[in-house]
Amino acid sequence: MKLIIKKLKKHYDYLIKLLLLSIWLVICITPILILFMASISDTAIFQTIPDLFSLEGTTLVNYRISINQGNFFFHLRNSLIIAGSALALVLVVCTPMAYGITKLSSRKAKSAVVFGVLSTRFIPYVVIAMPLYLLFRQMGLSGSLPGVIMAHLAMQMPFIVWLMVGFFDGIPGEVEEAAIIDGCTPFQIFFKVSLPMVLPGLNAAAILAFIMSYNEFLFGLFLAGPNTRPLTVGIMRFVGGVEVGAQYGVVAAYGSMIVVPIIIFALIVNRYIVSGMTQGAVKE
Amino acid sequence: MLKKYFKPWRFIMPGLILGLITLGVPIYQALKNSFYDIRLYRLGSEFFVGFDNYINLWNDSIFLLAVRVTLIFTIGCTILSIFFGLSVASVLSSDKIRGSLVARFFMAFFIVPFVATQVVTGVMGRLFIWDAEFGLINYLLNTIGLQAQAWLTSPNLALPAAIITNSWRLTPLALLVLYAALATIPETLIESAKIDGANEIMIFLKIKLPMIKYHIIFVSMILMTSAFREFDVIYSLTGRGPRRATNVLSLMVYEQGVSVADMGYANAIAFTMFLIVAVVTVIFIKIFKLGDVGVS
Amino acid sequence: MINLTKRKSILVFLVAALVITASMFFSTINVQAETVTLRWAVHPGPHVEPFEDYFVPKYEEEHDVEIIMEQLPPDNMWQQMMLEAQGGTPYDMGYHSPGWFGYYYEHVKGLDEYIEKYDFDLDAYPDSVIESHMLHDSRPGEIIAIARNPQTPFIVYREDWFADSGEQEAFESEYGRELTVPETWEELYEVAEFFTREAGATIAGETLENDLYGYSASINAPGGMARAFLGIFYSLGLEGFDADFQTDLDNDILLEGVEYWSNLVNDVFPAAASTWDFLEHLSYFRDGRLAMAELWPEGVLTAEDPDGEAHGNVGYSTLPRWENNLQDLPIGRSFMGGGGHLIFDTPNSEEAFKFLQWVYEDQAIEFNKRTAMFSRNEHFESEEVLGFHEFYDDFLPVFQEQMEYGFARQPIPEYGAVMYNPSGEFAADVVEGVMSAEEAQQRWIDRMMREFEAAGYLE
Repeated sequence: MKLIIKKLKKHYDYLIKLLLLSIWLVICITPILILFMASISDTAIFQTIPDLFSLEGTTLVNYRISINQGNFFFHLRNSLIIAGSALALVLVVCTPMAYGITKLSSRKAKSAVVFGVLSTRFIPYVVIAMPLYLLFRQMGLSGSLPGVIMAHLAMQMPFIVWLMVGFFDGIPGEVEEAAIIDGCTPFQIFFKVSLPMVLPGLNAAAILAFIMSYNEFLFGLFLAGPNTRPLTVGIMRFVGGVEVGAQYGVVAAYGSMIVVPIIIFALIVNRYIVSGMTQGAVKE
Repeated sequence: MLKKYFKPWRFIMPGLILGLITLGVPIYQALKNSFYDIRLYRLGSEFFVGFDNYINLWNDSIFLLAVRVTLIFTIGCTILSIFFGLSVASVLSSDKIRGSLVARFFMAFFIVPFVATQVVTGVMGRLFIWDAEFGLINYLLNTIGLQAQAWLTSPNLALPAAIITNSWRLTPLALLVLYAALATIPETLIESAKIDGANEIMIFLKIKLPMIKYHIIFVSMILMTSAFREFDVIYSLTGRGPRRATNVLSLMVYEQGVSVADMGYANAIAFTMFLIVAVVTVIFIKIFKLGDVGVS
Repeated sequence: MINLTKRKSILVFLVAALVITASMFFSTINVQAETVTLRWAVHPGPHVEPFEDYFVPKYEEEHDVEIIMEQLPPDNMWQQMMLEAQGGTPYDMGYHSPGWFGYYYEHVKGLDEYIEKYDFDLDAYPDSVIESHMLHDSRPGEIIAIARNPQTPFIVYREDWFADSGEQEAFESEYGRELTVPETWEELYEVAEFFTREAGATIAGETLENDLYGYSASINAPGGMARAFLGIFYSLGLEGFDADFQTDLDNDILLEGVEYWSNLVNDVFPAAASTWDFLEHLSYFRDGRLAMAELWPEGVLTAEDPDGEAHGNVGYSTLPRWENNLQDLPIGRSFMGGGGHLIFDTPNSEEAFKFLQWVYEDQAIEFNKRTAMFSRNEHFESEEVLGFHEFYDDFLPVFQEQMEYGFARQPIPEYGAVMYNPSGEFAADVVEGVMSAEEAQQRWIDRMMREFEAAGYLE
């Protein structure tokens, strides 16, 4: 009898926990859901929440408006180019740097460099964006892609370096030492031995870097020009208008098109994101 | 000895130089610009003003207001995110659930707020969540019989709304790190505590919490710096807000630089932000000896 | 294990490459291979649809030009115009407002050469229009814009509610005088207060579904608030600065004015007004939620919307005067606003000019018909035009009377930085209770002095 009660209690506990987790899941998802439902609603009649979820009046007109008037695909192209290029540059620059940091023999030097990298992680982006606008203007780089990419590098570098340091630290030294004995140069070791071993980490870094650059707004606002303006800036054009509440549906459509793909992407590769964000934070 | 073989500085140098350029140059420029009077509509006729911008800054009641708002926002987000992160993480890491398929399933969705584009989050909040007539929050309040509020237009409610919105976005960070930390607490330890008669709460407070203390501090630091420099969410959610309730420093930099077109002043605020962050970081790292992170 | 991860990584990168290629393909569909693309910065308003639906497509059909309208809220619009012009990537066409012109005056193309080349008839415009909206002190002697709709605000009100005998009785018993269309700002406060009621109360015998407000403008900080508050500021008889750059902002009447304004906003405006940029309050008026509203003439089509509740009951009146104002003005006044089109100094400037000439010379009558905007002599004089809308009979006399008093802004480049922007900050800070009126006044004065010093006007 006692055993049955104990078992029931265990199941009960388990169910309660599932319930709590589900509540948090709902909290996480609902705003996005509302956004999406609003995007397929008739924009002329603003909906109360229950109305939003009914499927009456479903329409794609908001998507049409945001694609045409919002020049959506143009901005999408820019966002992808920026994110892709930033990602490539960041990985190429930061991965070797992280590797080098882990191989520093002097504990003090290593400490100092890590300290330096860590502290740059906290720089507010406005501190970078403002002066860069003026600087690029003088250098003739206003609105150019390389300028924006440079700013993204500044933004990503501290985090990605620190992240990759954590991954590289986790490589067992024996494999590399074996490679030395085989007569490989340090660069060969890096490329052929160490890098393949941190591939999961590399994936995590790539995914996180891509997402962060894709979502970035401030540099897109200041440093991107008419030919490089990303989606995040594009949506702000629809916020605020002549009519009270007129553009809700269109904004929702634009927002959904920005956010839903990236969320689906994140759900698919969530394993890497999770490992990336927890990496280095958990030291035995 | 073997390590010397790797010639680490060759790997570090390119990145370090680029880092110094992309990070160092703007900061240096911010400092330099702050000593000039630069009007955005009349670039090319800057003139030197020395410390005037900084003197005006410290006498500016709006700057002091911005510092206060930023402080409240930062601390509020940190506390809220850690609270929710810790709560969900402890449920997620409990013994039947940790590491299981169920956990992975939930975790995939828990990342969503962090991955969602910040400006879209802000716009979402502004039009659909906190809206006085049609928003989700007021709808829920009305359903349970409470009074609907004009969240984003009330001087006292705008900042809490912003804090909640940003915490929603940042919680996954705390959640992930604390889950990972809690999940590595060996189950045997908890079992033996239970056998000794401890209940869940005591286990949590006396065993789990101390073991993850370091992680909580670490995550706090990440959260605080993220919240301190937040721009996108606030800009798209409330702007500077009623009675400047959400006039955080990063917004003020933007406003002074573009709307007021006083670039020198804006750079002074930006550089001051940098100083604040630098000082706090150093203090933090010294106190909690976090310089050892990443050094194995 | 590693192979699996490798394969997955390759897959991820392949998908990414595919997506990027696909989007590049899609984006080229949008941008047809036209000879010339004109980027045009516009702000929201009833004029946008006529351009989007009629004028732009028609012109694009007949010419090898693509016109992209980038719509931004007013404040963001001039800021973006400034940022891009200063950054070296200016728009081809932009909205011209005399008060904002100073933010980018160096990058605007002088239009005299095109006017000559294409025989654009300047005499089609009243002299006052040319002076206020097509010239600017920062570019002496040059025509720098084509006027679109010079305007200065006045009042719309619900005739039927003012005429209702029940309301008249109630007002008289409460305030001891007749319910008349307000002629002073004090009177406006009383009337607005009278008409501010909660949902469930009655108006002219009908029960209100929603809250009713007595008066509103669009007052988001700082731009909207500036636009609205300057109606008080100039009614006070203040001018901001004189020809010698001496300020009159230290006058006590400014404090009186902003205290009044603060009470008005906090007692009588809908709460949402502080989120409105420019004309949103007119849609409230149209929907029967405002008894009176500030009318920027370019929004008249919204107020007079045939589908709106206010339709058929719209009355027009000049801006109320401020008793004991400094210049003995018989009615209130605001700044001369509204605007035109400017063309930035880009390789497309000539094509841009040709488009504007087509709109304003070839399509002049059609333009007024669709937008109800007035700029040219023929707009004011043609019988055909006057027949387009019924409300012109009531609207035009008030419009023209108010135009006589519109304060033509002193066209220095710093106007936006010393008057327009700070007036909005000033009013917003006092209305919202961020600081006292005296402190806000001092901030404004300090800022103006700093700008004048930086510009070299003061020693």
